[in-house]
Amino acid sequence: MIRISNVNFKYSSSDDNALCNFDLNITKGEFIVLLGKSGCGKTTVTRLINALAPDFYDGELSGDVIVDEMNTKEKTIQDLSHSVGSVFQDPRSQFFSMDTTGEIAFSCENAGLPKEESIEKVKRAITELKIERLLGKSVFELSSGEKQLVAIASVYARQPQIIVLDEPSANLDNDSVEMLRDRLAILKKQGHTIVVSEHRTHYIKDLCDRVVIINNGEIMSKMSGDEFRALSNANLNAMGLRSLNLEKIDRQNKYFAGTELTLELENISFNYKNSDDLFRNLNLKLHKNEILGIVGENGKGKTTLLEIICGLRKQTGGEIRINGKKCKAKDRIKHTYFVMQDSDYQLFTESVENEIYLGSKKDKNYQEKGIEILKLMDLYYYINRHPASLSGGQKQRLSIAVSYMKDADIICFDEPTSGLDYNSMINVSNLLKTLANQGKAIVVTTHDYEFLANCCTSIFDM
Amino acid sequence: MNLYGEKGNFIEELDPRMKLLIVILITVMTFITESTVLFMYYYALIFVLIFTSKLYKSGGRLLLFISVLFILQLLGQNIQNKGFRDSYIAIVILIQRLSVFVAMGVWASSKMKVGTFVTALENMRVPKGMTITTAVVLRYIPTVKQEFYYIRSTMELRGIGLNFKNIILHPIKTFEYSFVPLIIRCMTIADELSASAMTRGLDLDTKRIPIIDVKIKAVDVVVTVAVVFLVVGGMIAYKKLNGELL
Repeated sequence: MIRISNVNFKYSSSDDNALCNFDLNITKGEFIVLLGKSGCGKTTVTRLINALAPDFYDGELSGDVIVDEMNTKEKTIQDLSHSVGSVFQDPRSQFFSMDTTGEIAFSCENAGLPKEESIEKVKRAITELKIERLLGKSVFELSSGEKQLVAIASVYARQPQIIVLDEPSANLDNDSVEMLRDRLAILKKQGHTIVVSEHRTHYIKDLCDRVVIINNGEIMSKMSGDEFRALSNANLNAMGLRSLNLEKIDRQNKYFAGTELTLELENISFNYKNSDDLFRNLNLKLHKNEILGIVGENGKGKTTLLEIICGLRKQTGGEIRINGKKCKAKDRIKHTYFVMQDSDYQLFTESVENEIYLGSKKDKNYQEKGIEILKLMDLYYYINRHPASLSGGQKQRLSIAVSYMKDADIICFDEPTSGLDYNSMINVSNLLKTLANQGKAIVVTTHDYEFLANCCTSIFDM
Repeated sequence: MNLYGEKGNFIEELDPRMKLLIVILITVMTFITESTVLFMYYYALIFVLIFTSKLYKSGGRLLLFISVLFILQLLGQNIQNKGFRDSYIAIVILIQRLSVFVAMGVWASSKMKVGTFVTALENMRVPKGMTITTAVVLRYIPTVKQEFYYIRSTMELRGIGLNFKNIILHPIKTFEYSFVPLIIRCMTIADELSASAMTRGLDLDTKRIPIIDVKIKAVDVVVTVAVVFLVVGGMIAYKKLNGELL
């Protein structure tokens, strides 16, 4: 079904090859999982299959990619759109319509199928993937997990032979990941050829027929599903991969007895205007040196709670004390910092150096302090770079550096490890431990159990 | 299976081309009219469209906003210094005129189905490149509010908040800080959206066939003719009353 033979690929924006001597044959109906560290080239493999590389993402391609008997060099992305369906990482930026039905029908409409046939296909996708309840809704009302299901339905409606998914679980909570798994099982059962590039593997371990581990653009190993399932967490971690058996992970950092109280929430309630309470009478204590993990399904108000702690929102009831003093929202802003999941919203200037000095107090030693922090965050080398040109992890560290400059006592993180490979996750975990050791109090929302087990000293379930 | 949930009333379901025509007509007429009375009459028409489309929340906000603007305009008549009064009123009137774009945008984009819109433009022989660009923009507008919320939050935390003080003291910097991240995000989204659209065959040469018919119905024509009549008729009636027309 898919033959990738002796492929070398280099993006025009980069000096190094994204893929080297890459060989992979995928037969009809196989479920293939591509694994590897961030930047190893697994996304590039998915782009070769749907011809986004080199058609959309410019680059030099040597060797042949044959998909459904078409050589991608001679065909366009559009030609392949009949055979290959693609689901991407970020559900926010792959939707074209504003209503779910229009979105699911989109590919069929573009292909110029007769109206009745399109409607039939849309209906079939909805019934077989069991998403009737999402029908006729605005896409802005959907959660990330629901959006991902609609994205799959949209691909499925067109009935392509091959479906490629690029980190489809990156932004999803545990329940949504389960929903995703069920749908992938249906696709597999129906005989579609499926290629998934992923970091989180526990949810698809029972579905995969073959696993390809990629390192620096080369295939490190190919193994059968059974061989893969036999690997221990330690084996995988050593290759820089996420754990497969979450139930076997032990919590490492759970012995913690805080003495100095930093933050106290007493009977905190919150509701949006004209709607029911999101949460009520919530009590929480946070100490110096503590790393508190907040867990719970999407929609329970985890992010809102962080926004309240940081003073970006006012609670509708209850009292918040920082260092023993009652603190209004306006004062909380001064003591806290919020590191968002997506750092693009948080960087404003044209260089790393200017970024950390923006909005900070310009006292005598501020430049020394800034340089020290950049060194600590491993960013000193990039001091003159434009923040937008940094990698995701670097942007996140820059955001943390900003919180240091501000002397914030409490630092909140919203899903800091979504879409990260094992090593990057451990780096974030270590960073949080460093911050805690230096006397900060950390609050972090997360769906990532492996990360939680690695660094959180206490857990709060919403 | 009912694919689209409940159908809206005939104003909500108005053909996108007719909507476009009405939007252009009303925005042009409100922009060129010098008379406050005629302008208020047009605004009343806009509110009829907005409220019959059940956009109560945005409609209410707009009503409040435009009322404040009219009051500000009236208060301005009392300013003694002529130079200041003229520029004050000019600014208020400019904001009033510009707000029409927002109001019409809110109305036209509600219930808009991108698929229908793309097909409608295709039928009007608009070049494909332009159709796709317009569709991407349409798709991006509703997310701007959310994106902007994140940016404002960070600005608060960093002491460069988007507040009155900073806008007056550092207008350029504040503007820059609000828009740079927005533009960077916008570029990322546009890129990913285009990639997604291409893998789904948006620019295939075959003609798109939408699952809902994109045809101008009799009721669309009636509504549009009625609006045109009210807009143009209103202007003629006003001019006659003032003796500008014989």
